[in-house]
Amino acid sequence: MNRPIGQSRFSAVSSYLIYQDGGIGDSQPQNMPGTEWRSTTLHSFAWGLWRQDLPVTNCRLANGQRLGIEEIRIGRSWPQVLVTFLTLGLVAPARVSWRCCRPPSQTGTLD
Amino acid sequence: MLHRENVGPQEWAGVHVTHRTTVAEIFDVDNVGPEGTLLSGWDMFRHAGESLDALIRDARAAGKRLLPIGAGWALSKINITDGWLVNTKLLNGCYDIGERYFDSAYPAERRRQVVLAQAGMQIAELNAYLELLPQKDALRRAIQAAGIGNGQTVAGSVSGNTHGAQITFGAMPDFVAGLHIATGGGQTLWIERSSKPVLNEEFAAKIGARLVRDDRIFAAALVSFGTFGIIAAVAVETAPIYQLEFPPIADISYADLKAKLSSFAAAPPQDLYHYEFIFDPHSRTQMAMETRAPKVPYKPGVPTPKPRWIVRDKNGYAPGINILRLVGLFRWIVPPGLLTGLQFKQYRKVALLDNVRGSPGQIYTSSIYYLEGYIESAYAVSVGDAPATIDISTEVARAMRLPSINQVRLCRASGGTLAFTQHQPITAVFEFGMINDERFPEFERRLDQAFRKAGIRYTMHWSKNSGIDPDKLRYMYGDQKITSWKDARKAVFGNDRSLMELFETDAMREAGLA
Repeated sequence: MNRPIGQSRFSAVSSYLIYQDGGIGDSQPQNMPGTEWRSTTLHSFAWGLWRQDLPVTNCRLANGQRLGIEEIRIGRSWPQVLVTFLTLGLVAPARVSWRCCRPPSQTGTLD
Repeated sequence: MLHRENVGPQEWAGVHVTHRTTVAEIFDVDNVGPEGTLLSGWDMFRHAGESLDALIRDARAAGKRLLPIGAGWALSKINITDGWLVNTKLLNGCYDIGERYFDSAYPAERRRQVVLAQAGMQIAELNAYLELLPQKDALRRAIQAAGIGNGQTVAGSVSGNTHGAQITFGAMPDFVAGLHIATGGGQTLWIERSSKPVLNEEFAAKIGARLVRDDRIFAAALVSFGTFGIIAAVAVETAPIYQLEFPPIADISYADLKAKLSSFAAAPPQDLYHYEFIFDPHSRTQMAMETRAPKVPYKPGVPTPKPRWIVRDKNGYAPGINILRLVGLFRWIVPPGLLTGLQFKQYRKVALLDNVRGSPGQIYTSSIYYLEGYIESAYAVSVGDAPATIDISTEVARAMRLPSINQVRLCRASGGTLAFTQHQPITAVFEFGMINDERFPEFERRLDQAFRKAGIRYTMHWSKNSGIDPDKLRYMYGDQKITSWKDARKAVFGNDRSLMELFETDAMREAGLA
């Protein structure tokens, strides 16, 4: 499943959207991506004593050139909140989604 | 170069999360060449076209449908597929074109205004290239049409008929001079009008394409929502840089507004470039508000106005993604007029261009914070029918107790065969936002009924509708245009059914366009 947080059938009870600087002024911060969404569920155990990191490997061109992350969503669905509550935080899952940046635009004159 | 994401079947939704689907795979296409270097110039355009052409043939071999995607901006099902999704957003190069590659008939003084933009270039990026990159003011240029935002890609905005409010120019497809399209036939196509040749054989050969000059094919391919193959690049006719000067928002009575719209039908105004108005179907005041702007000469140093539609406060707080679901629960309790009254005030405060001046790149930067569960219905009529449409929209919205205001933008009639902005002499596009529930298709069903009863020809926005069936399509465009569009599509694919079927979406089949 590759569904970003907030698009779950169990609606997200909490979510944060984190953007990089967008366009002119405060324009279009939510819509400058180079890719579609990728999502994964991460877990934290024992109140953060053991955590699961997220290596982002898809934000690159075909030759490996890195692009950076354009937008991140972090949130918890109802079931994830329930698990965290029932285990008193011993198990704390969260959903993370991200989209990648665009490469710099190639420009010039066709001569 | 193509690189598949190798995630396999995965859920996908557009920017506004109006529909969900499972796509078989997502392919990213970028400007990396076979040797691993980042390509530029001719190589970049040629290789992108060849990569897309090869992908189409791979899809045919794999038995998968194929759909190119830009920003995923459409709210309708035109961007929904269960096949391979082709992400073109990494194709974002843009170039000027040397003199020798123009057809001799194309006016020499307009050649500097033509640029070749790759399909995935975002409108914001195109604006930056045209307006900000040149060091001298005399070299700056601007796009001639834009929606209120700049997040769409060049190909997506053309193919989906993004319109804006250019009352004396037209919609975004109207600034296109030529299209570079991959169809899976082994060689890409460069399509332009025979009545207005722009670029020559040498140009087409340099990008590896076959030159097709045909008015009928060009007009059909313009608004084709990804069904004519994959657009690799678009030649855009720009204008020397200009600015728009918006006076303060004006209040206008319905009577004066209707008289003004009727006068536009009789004689399109030559002193305006942008015109739109907002009305509240539930208001008893019979007052609308309008915003308008003439085109004025470029004045250096004009500061960029604050973008419209910013709903975040200075501390970063904004409505949560799911807030509309909560609002929907109260729909039977709260009178619609109360909600539309609040919306009307908010539009004046944060949505409409009000007492500002700037270039298209400075003005049309709206950062619309879309909420999940929100949808829009947009329908277009000739400006002569706009007064009656105000009444029809009002009656339907009131009868259904729909709590939404109407935003209406006017643009000159477009030339695309299935351009929904084709109503002569000026098209009025009515946009109606609402919560995405069972009332959305019902609203459009009642509208259709009312338009037919009144004898008004209308068209639905391809990106903002709940579904179009063959009967509705015939009412909107007539058999002649539908047949012409289908014939052009056959010609582009060399009448190869197996290639055509790759690009047939469910929405297209339901409309009877397959």
